Amino acid sequence: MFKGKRLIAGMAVGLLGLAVLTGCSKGDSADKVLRIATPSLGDSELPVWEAAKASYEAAHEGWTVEFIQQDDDLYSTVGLPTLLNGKNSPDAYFEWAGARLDQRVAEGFAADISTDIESSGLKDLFNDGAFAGYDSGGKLSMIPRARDVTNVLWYNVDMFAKNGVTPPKTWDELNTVCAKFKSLKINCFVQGNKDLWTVGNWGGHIISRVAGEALYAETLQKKKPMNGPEFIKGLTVLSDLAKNGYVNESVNSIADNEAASLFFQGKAAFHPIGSWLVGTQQDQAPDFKMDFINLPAITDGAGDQDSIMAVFTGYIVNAKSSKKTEVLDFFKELYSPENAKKIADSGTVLLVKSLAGGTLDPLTAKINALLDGAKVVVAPPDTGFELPVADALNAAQAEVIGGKSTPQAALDAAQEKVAALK
Amino acid sequence: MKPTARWIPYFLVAPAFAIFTLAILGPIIATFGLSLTDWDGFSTPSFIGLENFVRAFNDKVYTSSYGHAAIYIVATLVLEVLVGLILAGLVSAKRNTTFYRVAFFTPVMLPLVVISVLWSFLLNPDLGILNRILDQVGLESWKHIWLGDQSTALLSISVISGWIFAGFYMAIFYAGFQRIPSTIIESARLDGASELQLLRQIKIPMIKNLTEVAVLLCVTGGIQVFDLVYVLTNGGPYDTTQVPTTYLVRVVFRDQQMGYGSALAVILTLVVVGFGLIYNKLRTKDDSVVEY
Repeated sequence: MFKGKRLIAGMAVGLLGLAVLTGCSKGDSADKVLRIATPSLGDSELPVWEAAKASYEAAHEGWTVEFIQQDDDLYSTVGLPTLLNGKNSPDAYFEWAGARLDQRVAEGFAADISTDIESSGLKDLFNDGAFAGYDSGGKLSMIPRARDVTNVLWYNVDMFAKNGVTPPKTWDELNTVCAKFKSLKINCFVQGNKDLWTVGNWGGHIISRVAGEALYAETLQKKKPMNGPEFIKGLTVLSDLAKNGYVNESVNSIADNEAASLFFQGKAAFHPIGSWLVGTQQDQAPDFKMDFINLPAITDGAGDQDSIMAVFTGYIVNAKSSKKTEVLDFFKELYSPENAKKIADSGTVLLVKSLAGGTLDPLTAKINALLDGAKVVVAPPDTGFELPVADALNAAQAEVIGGKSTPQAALDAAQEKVAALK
Repeated sequence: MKPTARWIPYFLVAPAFAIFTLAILGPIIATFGLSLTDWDGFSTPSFIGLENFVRAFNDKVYTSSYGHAAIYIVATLVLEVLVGLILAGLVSAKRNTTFYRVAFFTPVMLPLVVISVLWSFLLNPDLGILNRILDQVGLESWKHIWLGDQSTALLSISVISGWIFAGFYMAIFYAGFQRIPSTIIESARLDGASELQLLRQIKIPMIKNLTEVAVLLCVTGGIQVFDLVYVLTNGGPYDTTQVPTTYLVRVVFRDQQMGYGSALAVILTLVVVGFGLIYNKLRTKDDSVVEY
């Protein structure tokens, strides 16, 4: 019996020792795995990444590249924090520039790559000006990927032609166009705001045009109250569209993809959404003819009336990773002219020199021209600013477009929510 | 039989205790700990005492979410438990009711998310079948944005919930009715009792325990309802269908306020546990009733 106890004790000690040794043996020096976290790449882009991985691994003996892909919503919310706080945190990860990038820098998850990107040769692949908007505190902290316009007014080309309507340039012209479509019993706008961000972007852009970009940003940074007169004026512009019956009644009960489907089915003249609608249209309604205009100029608006609302995306090198050089080398491979062309074919135009002057889908090329020509870029509430603040504004806009509250009442409630935040 | 050494029982219990600690006790303690902090999921949590709890009690969306859950519970007690009881009474009163029992139970077997998506298509204000049917039969004025109008959204969700779970409660009550000795039923019939009298005066009193369990399941399930609301309305319009769980998910996953979300989770847990304890305390055992 005594021998049995000693045997059990001996085995326990042995197992403990083995566990400790196994844990200790996994040091950084032996870790030759490059981990890159990203939202789902999709069937069309993933093969390009796989090809880049194969080339990288062939050129760097003993190294392997791992892609950590997550569903887009999961990644942008709880997925990334979990990955970054995990034991094997990614060496590089996808992120949105702006407030989210600043947050990563402040939390120590973003490395300064200002000099490394130059010495690695990766910088030479990019367009001039491609790095604007990718810095934080004066230091480059992101490898650029692409820029997405998040709010333009897509319109049904055939519907416009059939009814002899030309795309409006000013807000007054837009109201005239909408009045005409209303008289023809056609919805002027279709939008799906079940998840609040769609009208959040659209209305946010309108508010920035009316109140001015600086006030818009200061308010969403909690430096100014949300229920100030300029914000109320901006929200009133959105409110008037709904009051005049130009927006689908179901706006707050359908999702963005349902609204896109209705637009493709010819149920509305306009659909305010981002540049990604090009890919959706190619997949779902390849024969549907659409074009877009930027948000028309609003009379007496304090902001730049040619401003665009856009997000910049890219990859951050984790400051906690010791593989900065390897990460930059991998992206050199991924952003090679051949791979960049394939990624462009899948719908994402990287900000690299090799694509300049290339042949792009006409709508994508037009979007790029809009981005290139923009003097003022406004960040959407939900990716440019603190989420709870964006949420308060988005909820206010939903109430206004749904006719539940006046702009004043909705923004008073929003300010109350913001005031309760730390 | 006594163990040969005092440590042996502890040694044998240790694996189970370790798993329990890792899977249940640890997360509960961690959640409570996080509820006392300000944490966004990335940075180092900072201790803020009971501030999150004070904020929760002043958060109108959160406090009203319990009101919505209460309305949902009352509605589903009727639409699920009562309707389930009536269905069980109907199918147990007749023979050859297998088809109906299977038909009523089928929605329970489908994943809630699938059902939610299905109903969101049916109730879609622009393309949904319900509004189209109303249009076709000349009831255009009845057409409605069922899930997008604050006056009908919560009721619509409750009706869908009833459509799903009435069959579940029917199955429970039907099983209870089957356990009642046929001699009692037959003798009541010989005494001239109608099927309705049989149901009200014999069958229902004899399955009192099952009814209590059904009510407890319905109420605790109602407080924890998530899937249906999340897919059908995501708490909207204007937070009028926001229930504690959907708001919790929004705070944690969308707004990335892990500390505040943990406080909401702690409060929700206390409410559910508190309700269960009070309910058990209130349950009285009547020895004069014969139960099956």
